[in-house]
Amino acid sequence: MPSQTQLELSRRDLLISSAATIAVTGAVTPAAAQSPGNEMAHTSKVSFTVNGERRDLEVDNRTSLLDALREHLHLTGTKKGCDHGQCGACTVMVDGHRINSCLTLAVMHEGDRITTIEGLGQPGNLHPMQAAFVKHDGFQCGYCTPGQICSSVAVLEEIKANIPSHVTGDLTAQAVVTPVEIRERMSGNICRCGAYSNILDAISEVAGIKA
Amino acid sequence: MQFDTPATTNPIDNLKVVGQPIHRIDGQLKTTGRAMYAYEWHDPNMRYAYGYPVGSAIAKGRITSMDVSAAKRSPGVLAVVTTLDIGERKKGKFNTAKLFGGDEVQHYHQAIAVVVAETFEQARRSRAGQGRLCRGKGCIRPR
Amino acid sequence: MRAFTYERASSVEAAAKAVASNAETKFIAGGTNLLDLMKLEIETPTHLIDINGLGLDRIESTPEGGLRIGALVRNTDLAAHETVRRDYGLLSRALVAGASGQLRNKATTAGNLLQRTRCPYFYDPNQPCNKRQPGSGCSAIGGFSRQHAVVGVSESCIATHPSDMAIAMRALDAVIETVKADGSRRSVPIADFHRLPGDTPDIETVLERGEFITAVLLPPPIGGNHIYRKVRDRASYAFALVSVGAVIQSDGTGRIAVGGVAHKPWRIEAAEAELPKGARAAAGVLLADAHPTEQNRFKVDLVERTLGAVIAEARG
Repeated sequence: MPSQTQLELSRRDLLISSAATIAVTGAVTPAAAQSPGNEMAHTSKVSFTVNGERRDLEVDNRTSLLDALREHLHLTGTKKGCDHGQCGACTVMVDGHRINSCLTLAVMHEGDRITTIEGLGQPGNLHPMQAAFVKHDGFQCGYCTPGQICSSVAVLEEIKANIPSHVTGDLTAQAVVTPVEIRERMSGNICRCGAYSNILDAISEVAGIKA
Repeated sequence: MQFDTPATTNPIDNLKVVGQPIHRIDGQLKTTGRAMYAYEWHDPNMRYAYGYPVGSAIAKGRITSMDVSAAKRSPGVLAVVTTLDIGERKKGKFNTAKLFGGDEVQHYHQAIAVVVAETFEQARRSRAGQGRLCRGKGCIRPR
Repeated sequence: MRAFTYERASSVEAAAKAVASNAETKFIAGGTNLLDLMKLEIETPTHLIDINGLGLDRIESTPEGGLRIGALVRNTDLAAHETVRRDYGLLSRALVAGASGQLRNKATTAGNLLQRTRCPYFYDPNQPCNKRQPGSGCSAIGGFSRQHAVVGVSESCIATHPSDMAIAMRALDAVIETVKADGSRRSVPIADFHRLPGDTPDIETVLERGEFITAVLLPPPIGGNHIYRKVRDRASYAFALVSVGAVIQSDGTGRIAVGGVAHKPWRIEAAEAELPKGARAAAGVLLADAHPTEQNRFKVDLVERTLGAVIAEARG
């Protein structure tokens, strides 16, 4: 069971900082990223950091970042739900921003710092958001859960960074965490099991507000 | 069960088990992305192939023939199995739709073949790259 | 998805030339629309040029007091920009009404303008579609057309442009700046940028092959009340049935652009002249040439009512 202290936070920095990230050495080649010696091949080499660890790959150019993570790096925490950017199960963090990894190519991410659900926390050492999802039962089958958790961590960061949303009242005021804001900002993550109300409870607890 | 005595409180009424915020035993695995779903088991000693289904372009009808030769020649393709390769199969006790096999198309995008290739991208491409696996009049008879 | 070769662009000019010289070469920026279409083989480039690293992601004030928005600025960053929120609030509102947080973090300004329709028949390669395959027919006409266009339509195509951002930019008189393959530059007012379907619904903008959008220019702010009202089947994460982007001044005059009803953002200055008379008068001019189908006829009334709500909200 996660300790209570892991949940007693509200305003501390939520994202696992990449301060400990190994700096990726080697400049990005501005022009071709093709495999050397292979004139216009359909594969390319690419290097990026995943959960603090540098990974070097050579992949079919068509490989989505999602498939690079799941099939090539065997980080299967990130899930393929629709493969078309409509469900959010593939949500990961790239350079601190949440994106749908199914709608981007692995080769487009040279030098990027990627955080997946595995990087947020591990069993026995849960990220506060992960612990909150367990405490509030924010899942059933668990397939949307990694995307939900990555998104919710990013949502709280986006509010802190004063990014507005569709339900933000005053555009010129600092964005605030409210249940309505959380619901709107999480609308890119769908859940067939319908765990939404508990997901809202989990995020609200981490944000330090009432759901 | 005979309902002939007054009901007293039971463990459910007592909320000793039901109604308690007990953490799911799979919670830590699911929230950390470590829960292994069927597709995700990976044995480093095995070589894996990828299958991609081909969906029917019509909603109802019968397939009289399929030409998969071009699909079979696509890069990385190991095999193409069509519904015609498999004879019609009897439904199991709990099946509603017919099983893969036979020539009948019952709904749009019904799986009528599966392409097996060395990579996901190759399997996906070869299915589409050939247009429909079944071309020309008489090949599929829509109803 | 067809196999393709991939390179990162070294310069705008080189990228423009490469795309101009090969019909199967495309730019990729955010990729949130292009990759969606490539997976379905609706787009089938054999070479992709990644234009993300060209430094076109800045937002800068212009000497005239306007704002120049780099083509590669992410939708989230554009909506969150202090000057945009304060002086071009309609643009922020429209941006955050669209897509999801994840998509807005990746989608770009130019990509948003260039995104293609979500007509389900366009998206289904088994169905006739004049946009996908000129001459094959339009499945939406006579098919399920509830979400399709009511104005500016043709016998070839009744698809809509799905962008919310473009509605705001149309109301704000945005100008699109480009570089052609021969190095020449031009500025295209957004009103002229998107085309109506006519007989060639496959040609959606006035861009020439290889023509590279570098920035979108907004004129100096015009003040007023900035409202974007989007009517859709869900509270979030759905395209508009009808949307109204408006800037209403305190004297009741203003500008309106309508989304969800046409192949391009719909704005008619003569309709705006009717604004002080109310929604019925203005909508009447806006949709004077409407040719809805039986299934989307409701949009004609919906435009008027949505506009009425916007006017009422502007009055406060």
